[in-house]
Amino acid sequence: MKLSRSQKRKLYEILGAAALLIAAVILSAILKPTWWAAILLYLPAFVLAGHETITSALRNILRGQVFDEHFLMSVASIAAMILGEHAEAVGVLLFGALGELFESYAISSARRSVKALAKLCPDTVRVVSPDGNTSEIAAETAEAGTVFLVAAGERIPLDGIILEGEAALDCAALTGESLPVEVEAGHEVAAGAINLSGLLKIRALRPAKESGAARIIAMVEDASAKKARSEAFITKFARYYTPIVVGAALLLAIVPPLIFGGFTDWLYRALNFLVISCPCALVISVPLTFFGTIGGSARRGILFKDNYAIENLSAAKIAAFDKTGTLTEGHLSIDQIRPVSCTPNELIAYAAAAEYGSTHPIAKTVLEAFEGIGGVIGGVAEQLSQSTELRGRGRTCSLGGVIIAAGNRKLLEEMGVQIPSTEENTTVIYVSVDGQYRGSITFSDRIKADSAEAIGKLRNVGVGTVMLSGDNRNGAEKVAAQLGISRFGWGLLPEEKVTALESYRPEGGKLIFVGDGINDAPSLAATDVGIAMGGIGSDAAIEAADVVLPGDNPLKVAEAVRISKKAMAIAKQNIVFAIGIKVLFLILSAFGLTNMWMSVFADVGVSVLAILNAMRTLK
Amino acid sequence: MTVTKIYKFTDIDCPNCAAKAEAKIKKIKGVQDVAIAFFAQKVFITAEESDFAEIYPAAVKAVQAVEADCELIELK
Repeated sequence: MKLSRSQKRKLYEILGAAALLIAAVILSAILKPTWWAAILLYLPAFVLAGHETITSALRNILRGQVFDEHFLMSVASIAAMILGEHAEAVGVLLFGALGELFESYAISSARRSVKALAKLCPDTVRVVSPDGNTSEIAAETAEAGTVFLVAAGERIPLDGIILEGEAALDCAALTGESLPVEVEAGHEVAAGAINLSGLLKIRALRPAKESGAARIIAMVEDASAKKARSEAFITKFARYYTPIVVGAALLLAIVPPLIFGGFTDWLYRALNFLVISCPCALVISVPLTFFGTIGGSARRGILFKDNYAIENLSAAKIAAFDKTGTLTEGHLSIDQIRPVSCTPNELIAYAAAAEYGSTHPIAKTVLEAFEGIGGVIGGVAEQLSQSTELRGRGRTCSLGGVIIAAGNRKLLEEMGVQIPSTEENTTVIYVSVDGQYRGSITFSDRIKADSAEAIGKLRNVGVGTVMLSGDNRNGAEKVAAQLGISRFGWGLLPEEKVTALESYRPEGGKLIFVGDGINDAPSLAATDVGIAMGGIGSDAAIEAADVVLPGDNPLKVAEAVRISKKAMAIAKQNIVFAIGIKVLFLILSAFGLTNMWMSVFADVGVSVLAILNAMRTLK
Repeated sequence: MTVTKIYKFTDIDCPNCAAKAEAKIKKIKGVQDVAIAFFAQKVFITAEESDFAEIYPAAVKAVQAVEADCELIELK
C-alpha cells in the first residue's frame, strides 16, 4: 500500500482523533460532565477529525455552493454535538474522513496503474553515429532515421526497422501475447517491446511521440473523457438525490414535531438523513469501474477507446469478422501457378507489373514471388505507365506499351478476354497480356491457429459469429466451413461490407465488427462496436474503431466481450447496492430505527464496499 | 478554426467536483464542448482557436471555484 504524504497526514489525524475520542468516552463515563464540560472534553477529537471537512464546507458556502457532502456532514455533526450526542458527532466526522481517505487512495492507485503504462518506453536512446560512436540522447529528441542500438534485456525506445542482428522480442506489454516473437534484419519492431536476446541495430521510423506505444498511452488516458450512459445517469442522479434528501430532512425536522411534538427526536432523525445523503459511493465507484477496466485491459492487449465501447460491447450479440487478417493470417501464399503459352516465371513477372503499387495482400505476395525468382522490381517500375486499380476487379498497366491486366474473371471478361473454365475454390487472379489470356495464379491464406477456439469462446459469452469476405464464394465458403460459421457474405467490396453488415444486425443486441484496420474504416464506424485488430499503425482505423487490439489474436475479441460484461456487472451491482442500502437507511431513519453510528457506517461502508468492488477491474 | 485543447488539472479529488467544474466551463462564452477525464486528470475544451485567450482565464476561474488549489496546465 502506497500512500502520498497528504494521505499519510490524514491517516495520522484519523488515528489521533480516534484515540482522543476513546479517551473522551472513558473520561465522560467516569466524570459524568455537564453539557458544557462534555463539549470541551470531546472538542479536541472533534476538531482533529473534522477541521478539513468544516473549513471546506465554510469555504464552499462563501463561494455559493451549499449542498456539498462536507456541508451536510458539518451540519449533522455540529447539531449532534449540541444535542449532546458527542461521540456520534465525532464519529460522523471520523468515518467521513476515513471514507474520503479510502476514496483518494483508490483514485490514486487507479491513476498509478494507468501511469505504469507510460513507462512502456525508455526515456533514452543509444544512438549510433555514422562513424560508429555511440551516445545516449533523450528519446523525445530522436528523429525518424536515427540509428540506435538495443541490447538484450532492454526495451526498444522507438518504432523502427531492424538493420542488423536478430533477437526474440517480448511484446506482451503491447499485444498481451506472452509468446516471444522472433525478429531479424528487415523486420519492423515496435517501441515498448523487450529485447530478450541478441543485439539489435535499428533505424527509427518515427519520433517517440508518434510510436504505437505512445498512441496506446494517449488512447487509454483520454478514454475516460467520454462518459458512458450509466455514468451520465449517476451524475444526474447525484444532482437530484442530494437536494431531495436534504429537503426531506428539513421536512422531517419541522412537520412531524408540529403534529406529534418531540422536536429533538425528529431533529435527530433528520440529521441521520443528512449523514446518509452523500452519493459518494455511486459518484466514485462507477467511473472508477470504467477507468479500472480501461487501465487493466490495456495491460492485456485490449484497448477500449471510451466507456461507451465497454457498455456497447457488453451487449454484443453478433460479431462480424472481416475474414482476411482476423480469422486468417492475412499473408497469402501462392498455391498454384497455371501459365498458358508462357513460362511460370513470365506469368509471375506479368502479374507483378500489374500489381506494382497496390496495397492489396495479393500484390504483396506476387511482388515477393517476383523478387524470389530474381526479378528486380525497380527495373519493372521504370517501364510502367498507366497503372490503374479497378476496385473489386483488379489492376491494369502498360509495360513498355504492352497492356497487362491481372484480376478476377469479371475484369478480364470486360476486356474481352476468354478464360477457360476453371474451378474457383480459392483466391485467384487471372492474367492477360495485350488481350491474350496468359494463365492464373491461385493463393491460399492460412486460418489462424486460435480462430476456431475464438469463435467457440464468443459463443460461450452469447455472441454469434458471421464472416464477411471480398473473396469469391468458394474461397469464403472453405474458410467458413472449416471454422463452423454458417452465415457469411462473399465477393464484397469495402463499401458493400457496410450494407452487408446491416443485414446481420441483431434484434435487441449490439453488432460488432472485427477488421484488420486496412480499408475497413467505413465498417468499423458503421457498427455499434468496431474492433481493429493487429497493429496500431493505421490512423483511419484507430479513428474509426472503438476497441483496438494491438496483437492479432482473435481470442482477444472474446476476452474483450467478457471483460466488458464484467465491468457492466460491477457498475450495476454498485448502483443497485448503493441506492438500495441508502433508501433502506432513509426509511429506517424516518421511523427512528437507526442511530447516527449506523448511518455513518451505512454511508462509509457502502462507499468502501463499492470502491473495493470497482477495484476488482484493475486486476 | 475550431480546435480542442487539452489541459492537465491538479488537485480535483472527487468525480463530483470534476462534474461541477465541467458544467461551469461549459457555460463559458465560446466553449463549444468540454469533457473532463477525471482519472487521467485532463480537460478537453473545444472552441474557436481565437477565443482561447479569453476562455483559458475563465476556465481557470471556473475550476478554482470548485477547488481553490486547482491549476490548469496546457498540454502540447
